[in-house]
Amino acid sequence: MSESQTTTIVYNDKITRQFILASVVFGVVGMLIGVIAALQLAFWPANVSEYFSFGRLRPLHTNAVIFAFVGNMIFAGMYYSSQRLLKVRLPSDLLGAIHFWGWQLIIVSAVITLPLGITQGKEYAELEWPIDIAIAGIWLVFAYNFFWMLKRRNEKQLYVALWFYIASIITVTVLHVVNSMVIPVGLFKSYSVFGGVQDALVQWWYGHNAVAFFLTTPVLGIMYYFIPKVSNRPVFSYRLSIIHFWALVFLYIWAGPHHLLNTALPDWAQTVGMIFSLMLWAPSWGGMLNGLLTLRGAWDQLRTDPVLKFFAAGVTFYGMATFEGPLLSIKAVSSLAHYTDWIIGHVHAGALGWNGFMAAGMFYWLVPRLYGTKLHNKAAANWHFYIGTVGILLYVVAMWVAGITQGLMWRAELPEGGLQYGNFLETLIELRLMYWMRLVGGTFYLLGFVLMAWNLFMTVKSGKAVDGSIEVANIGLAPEKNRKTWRELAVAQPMQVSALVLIVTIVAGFATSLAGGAMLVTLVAVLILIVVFQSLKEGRIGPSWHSIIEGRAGFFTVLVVIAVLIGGVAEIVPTIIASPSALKSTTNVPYTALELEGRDIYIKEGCYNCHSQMIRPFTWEVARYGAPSTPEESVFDHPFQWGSKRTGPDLAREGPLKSVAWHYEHMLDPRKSSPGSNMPPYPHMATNTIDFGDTEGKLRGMRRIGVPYTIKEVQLAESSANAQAALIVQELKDTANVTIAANTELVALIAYLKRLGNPPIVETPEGEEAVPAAEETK
Amino acid sequence: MLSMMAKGFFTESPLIFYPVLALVLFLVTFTFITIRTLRSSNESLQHVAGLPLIDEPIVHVHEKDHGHE
Repeated sequence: MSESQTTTIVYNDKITRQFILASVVFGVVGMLIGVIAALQLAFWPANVSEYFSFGRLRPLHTNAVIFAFVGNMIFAGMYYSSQRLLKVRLPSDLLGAIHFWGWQLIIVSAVITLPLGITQGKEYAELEWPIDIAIAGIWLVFAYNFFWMLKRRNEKQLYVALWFYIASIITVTVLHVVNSMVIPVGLFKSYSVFGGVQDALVQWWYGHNAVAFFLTTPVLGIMYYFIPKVSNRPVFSYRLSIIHFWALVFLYIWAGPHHLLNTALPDWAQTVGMIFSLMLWAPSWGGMLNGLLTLRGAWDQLRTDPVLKFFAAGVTFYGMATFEGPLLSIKAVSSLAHYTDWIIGHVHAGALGWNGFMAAGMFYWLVPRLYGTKLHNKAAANWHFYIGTVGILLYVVAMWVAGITQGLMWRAELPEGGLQYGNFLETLIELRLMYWMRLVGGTFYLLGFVLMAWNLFMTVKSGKAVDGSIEVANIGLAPEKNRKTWRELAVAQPMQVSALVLIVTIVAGFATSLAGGAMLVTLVAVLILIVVFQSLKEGRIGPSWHSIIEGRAGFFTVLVVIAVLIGGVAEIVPTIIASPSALKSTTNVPYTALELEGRDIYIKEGCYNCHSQMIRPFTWEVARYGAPSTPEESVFDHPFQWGSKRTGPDLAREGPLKSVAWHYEHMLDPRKSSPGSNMPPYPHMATNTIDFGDTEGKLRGMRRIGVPYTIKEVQLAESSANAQAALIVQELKDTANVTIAANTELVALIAYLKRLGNPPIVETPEGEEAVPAAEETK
Repeated sequence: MLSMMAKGFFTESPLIFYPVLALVLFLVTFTFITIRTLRSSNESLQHVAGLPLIDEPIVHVHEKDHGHE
């Protein structure tokens, strides 16, 4: 085809404009909810109603910020940059529109369901199964359009930003599908098919990689496109970007277990999580330096250009957060920081500094161009930068101080033995000032963001929507002379090396310890030597192997899938294999029908946002809460409820410690029994009722996913729940002179709380060993 | 000595094989990509690195022609 034949391609920039608008709107909403949640922690009366209590608002805040604000932002950046890097218009405007409107509908459904308490109870994956299916469907529409665009591209080589987009699309699909595997027991209720340790591992494999492949890799792609574009110079080192990409996608997927250090998770998995997290330091900082050094020679523009200010600060916050993350993944550091506000500070350094500032930089640069005008007020954009930076610093410093203070107070012991701060509330009250400071910091950040929203709105008003275009030669992607086939690529040297590595490592796994170890060491040494010699022999002339695979989007995607799946498979499969035998050998007993209903209320109210159920094996934890938690204790927990934060104390062994009357009073007015507590009151639980007619279906669902309920137990669920509830009602009457209906949420919750750390032992005739109820009734 | 270390290491749990496998795979992949990348030609990299810098004319939406559509 002649090169003189050209076509003008007009990009679909409407979709970018739409996603930017949605991101700004939901950014304001998500951050406002965050500020309200911060106020609730500092000032409990801000929990104004059942629907807006902290436990329900916090998931709404995280979902709104992650999936609505950042989600819409990354879609805007991906659509804008991908079309230009591939020199092709989005193949289907219709699929683009379905993606946009479908995503907004999902967000709206989250806004409705989460305050209603409709939740799966898994952090950052709270939305119930019908919404999960919608997410999968809309994500596939997006993926289809994106890969179609790759196929129709007019630029052969895939720029590094596109690799990050490919990795994000693939990995988020895998993460969402695996972590959302549930058994529905109603239109708005389901139970995770994974339980206990297994669920914890899957959840944090998902949770960590949601941070990695939703909040980080797409934004890195945006960084690699927009920073060169804005500074008008190519990326500092393209070679470094290749190493950055492969190291990051390979390592990130393994790091999830660092959220579960010192818990009942198998030690080997904790060690893997810690080591891979530490190794992440290198590629993360490689990427950060690559981004910052791209600005070399353009530093003078930072004084005047708000876009560059936001990008430089955003990348710096990325460096700070990715330094802190591996630090927190060291077991000893985690023992201090886990469950404290330090983690909240770390997360917000990334979310506000990295995501928020990269979004702001991108919006300030894109909106004037998408509307053919100039930014309405440059000074206001600079003010946004300063207000936002002060806000982040106040927030993060407050959380560092709060987290380290609380961590140290929890572990402080008296010289003669025992805890120095035995009452958990002492450690909470100490943080009050920091909670107010966090509120001030968050409010500053929100004000800066609102200023940006106004500035962008005025910019849009002064301009007119315009789309970019490009003149391209009609090259299509016609077969080239030297184009390698899939078959050739599949048997190419790198694939042979990979196959050899896999075969030897599998053989080593079945060999004796010494032989296996020796084989692995030899393999590494030989491979390194081969690679070095081969590379030196080939010299610098001709296209590199990597440039060949960069030109083959399909093959490239397959390699990314392999890199990503290795980690997930190696970490999760062993626990899935071990699960049936763990269920078979356990002496634990499934929850009674009423306890299960109570557990559902615990999840509905989001109690896991403030209470853990995982006692770590430290003297100070044992002294405060009792014996360390074991995997067996949560074997029937679908989903697991280990938690990730202790604004309130751990509840793993709460059952025997408090009476039913104490729980009743505590739920209605927490400060009566716990002066100084910031827990919301839950008076609605004393009047809201449960239909025990649905309980049978819940037990049936649990039975399907392996919880050993007998058929009889399932069939008698309703009467069993009523009978146990009647006993609690009677006890409340006798001990506290309280009258309450048996089918209320509060009675069920009390049953559940009384069960924690207090499993029933079935009485057996003399001379025989006690067996769990479930075993006996088989 | 080595056999004792290996025995102590692997007999604690057979699952310890997986972290070792992970490290081997990563090390090999990382070494391979690093060396390959450092040895690749400047020309091919410069072309790709310059892709974001291509400037573009803009088209008012009401006048637009959908190119490939």
